[in-house]
Amino acid sequence: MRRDYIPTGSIIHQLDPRVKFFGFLMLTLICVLWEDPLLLLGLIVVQGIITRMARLPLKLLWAALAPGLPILILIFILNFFLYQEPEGSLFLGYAWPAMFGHGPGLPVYLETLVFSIALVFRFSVILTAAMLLTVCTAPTEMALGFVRLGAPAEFGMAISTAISYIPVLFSQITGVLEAQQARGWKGASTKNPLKRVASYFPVLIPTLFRSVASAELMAAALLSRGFGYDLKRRTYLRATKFGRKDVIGTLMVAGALAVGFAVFFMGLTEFTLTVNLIKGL
Amino acid sequence: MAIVRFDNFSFQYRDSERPAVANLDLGIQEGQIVLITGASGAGKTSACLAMNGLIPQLYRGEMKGKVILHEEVDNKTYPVYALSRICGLLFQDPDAQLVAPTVRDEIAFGPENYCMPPDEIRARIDELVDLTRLHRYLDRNPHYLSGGEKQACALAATLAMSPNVLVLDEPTSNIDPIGTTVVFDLLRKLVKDFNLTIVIVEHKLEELMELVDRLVVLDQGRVVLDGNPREVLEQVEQLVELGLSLPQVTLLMARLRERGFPVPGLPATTKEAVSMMKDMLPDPGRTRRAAQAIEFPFEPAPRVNGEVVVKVEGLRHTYDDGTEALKGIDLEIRRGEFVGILGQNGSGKTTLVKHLNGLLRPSAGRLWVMGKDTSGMTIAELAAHVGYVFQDPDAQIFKSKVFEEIAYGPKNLGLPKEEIDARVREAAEAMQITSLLGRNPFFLSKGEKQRVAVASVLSMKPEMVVLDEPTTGQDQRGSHEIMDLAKALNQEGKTVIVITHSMALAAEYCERIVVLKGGTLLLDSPVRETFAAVDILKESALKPPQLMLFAQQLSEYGLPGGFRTVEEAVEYFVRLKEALV
Repeated sequence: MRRDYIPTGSIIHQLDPRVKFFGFLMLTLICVLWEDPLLLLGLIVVQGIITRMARLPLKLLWAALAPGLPILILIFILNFFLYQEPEGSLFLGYAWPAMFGHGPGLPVYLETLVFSIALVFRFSVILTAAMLLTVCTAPTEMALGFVRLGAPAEFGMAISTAISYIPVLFSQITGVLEAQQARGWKGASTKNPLKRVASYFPVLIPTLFRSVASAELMAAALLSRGFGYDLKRRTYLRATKFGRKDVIGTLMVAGALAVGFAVFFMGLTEFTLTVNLIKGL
Repeated sequence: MAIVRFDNFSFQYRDSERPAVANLDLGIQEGQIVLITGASGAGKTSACLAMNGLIPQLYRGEMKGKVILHEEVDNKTYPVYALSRICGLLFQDPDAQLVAPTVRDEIAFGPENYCMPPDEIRARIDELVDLTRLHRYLDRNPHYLSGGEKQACALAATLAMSPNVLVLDEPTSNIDPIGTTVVFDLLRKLVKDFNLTIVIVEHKLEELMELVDRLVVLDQGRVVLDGNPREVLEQVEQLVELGLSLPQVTLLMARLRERGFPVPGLPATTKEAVSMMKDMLPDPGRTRRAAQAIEFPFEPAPRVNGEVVVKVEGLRHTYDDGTEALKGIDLEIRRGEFVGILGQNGSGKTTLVKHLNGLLRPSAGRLWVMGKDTSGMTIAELAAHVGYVFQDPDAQIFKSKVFEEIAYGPKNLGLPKEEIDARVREAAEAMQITSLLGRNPFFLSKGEKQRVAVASVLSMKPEMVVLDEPTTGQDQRGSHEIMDLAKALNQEGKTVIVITHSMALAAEYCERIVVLKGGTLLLDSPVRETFAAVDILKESALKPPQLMLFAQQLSEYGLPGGFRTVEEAVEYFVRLKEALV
């Protein structure tokens, strides 16, 4: 999944991080409530609109889903085995025909099919929502959002520093791997779990050692740049006033959430909506 | 009034056996540009860390005496964040000091901590990216920038706090030549346009002599020389004794003076040295005639006619992210050669050599090691032929005994115990670390760790040894020790391939130089020819060593294309003088 911040300066990017957290939460919550694939498809369309409002290409949605695709497919297939179809479900046929003297396997019902699609849509919406949040919110804004929600300034600093440090950690691990391979290290070659762990020591130990060494240097760097001077009055470059657009944004998200709940309580969100539509045809 | 004053200051780290700084007395006046130099372990970094209170507040140990800023603020009672408003500190490691996810946030970090209103921070960011030319990278993670850009970003972030004193601790030791130029150019601008007191710790005297107005030399935690840079430079013998890296032309003129040449004063730059030499030599015509009588080079070029150990044909490599690192390389290396691979970062040097032991595989083209096509060979198989020594020994050390560390490679080769023991001892002997075999490698010095790293590759008895930037971050003495080890290995018959950024070391040690640029082979020639090909080198933004430039600028006098070492140049001029009589 693409997780890097892409600044476009759009209205979505300008929103207060708390509004964006709230929006993310709203989408996730509705996803949990709703079970009907048609309605969930509506959510995906809404995400498409948000993406365009953020002045980002729609193919980003696909980029968010592509790496998770194998898992989505697995969820889809497993659901046929795990889902207990309700009484009176519409039998569609068998997943595979009779073979080698065995009877045909796995009955497929319309209800199961629809529910499985809905499940895949739910996960897609959550993955996409997470992608939209990270692409539209700078890591420091994210940190600031947490601080504004009551987390200590140290916590915010730790988050943004950790995010910034990912590429360094990655290249350090690669460096250690290569150095050990150059001395004939071949990685795990046994199935014994204890021995497997032990076979990674040549990589783990230097990586840890270097991380500890860099942690001390980083502490020195943070102090040298004045961290801790006055955490209560500390300013934030990306601090924005909770302005009119944030109020409007919050209201819109709250409205959407209310609609989501209303639809849920009206009983429209059960997957029966789509099932009945299909059966009606 | 001293803006920073060390008053009989001593400090000993908690885990250390001897003081890092001992009875240091040093006052830095407002507005001064001070260069502090000294060999590794002279106490330079510790002095820097004491200036903003990291010593003794973060780094614990025993401190004596005082460090006082502005004659009233001492480094023990005021917290680091308060002292850092006076002394802004730039560290050597470009990665460890970058703490924010974007360049913009990096520069803002200090001002935010000091509660500056966001509008003012924005104005300051604009100003500082103008200075450092980081416009394009404002929203990028600083860790993705090149070494020089990282240091420029860290410098902008430090300047953003508006310190009175800027303290730079070896800002160019871990970066490539282009990055070094970026940092020094910035420094030049700061000296000219900003009203700052600057303390810079560096090994590279050559580039800084013109810039600073005071040179302080530390040794074992004490000031041994202090004064006008030119006057300090006159103490050549003492500086050499201390293991410092002097400009080559300075050393040359000092040696010539000893041999009776009428050298008026010691030069620091090539230009000064050239005009000085012109004054000493008779007219070009006469000198040229005398020079013709001298047989140069003194030593015959080494004849390499061993078999081909590496053959590369049309090698291309494209990384997963689409970067074309190698765009078709053809190369042959013979047994017993000493090859230097030069080029800027990103030119493909490391990508090329990582193919030799299979860490990378060709995207196109073919590669033979010891006559065998590498495509069917595993890294472990290749590792027995090609020993690869990485720049940072900490990337590989993981055993609690030096012996075990060196034995790790042969064990992976599946050798019997007696053979492993014999190889460990042999490798340790070659690296002169037999006495360390029982020690814990984690607690050794950087230089000792490096020897352990080389030994742990030698114990696999490879025909070839690849050293990837072995001298980065080392002082003059350390660099020569490592290169001398490489030379010894070469004389024992091993093929040696060194990737380096140090032109002077390449000129001195390598017999053949391969220059890469943008993934293509720009030049492949015997070392003397390489450095004479000034135009080609310019294309790859590599600067030949002073002695090479010096000789070339005197070519109308019939001097050879360049000298590889100061000793060689001295010998030449002594003979020339005799020939002129």
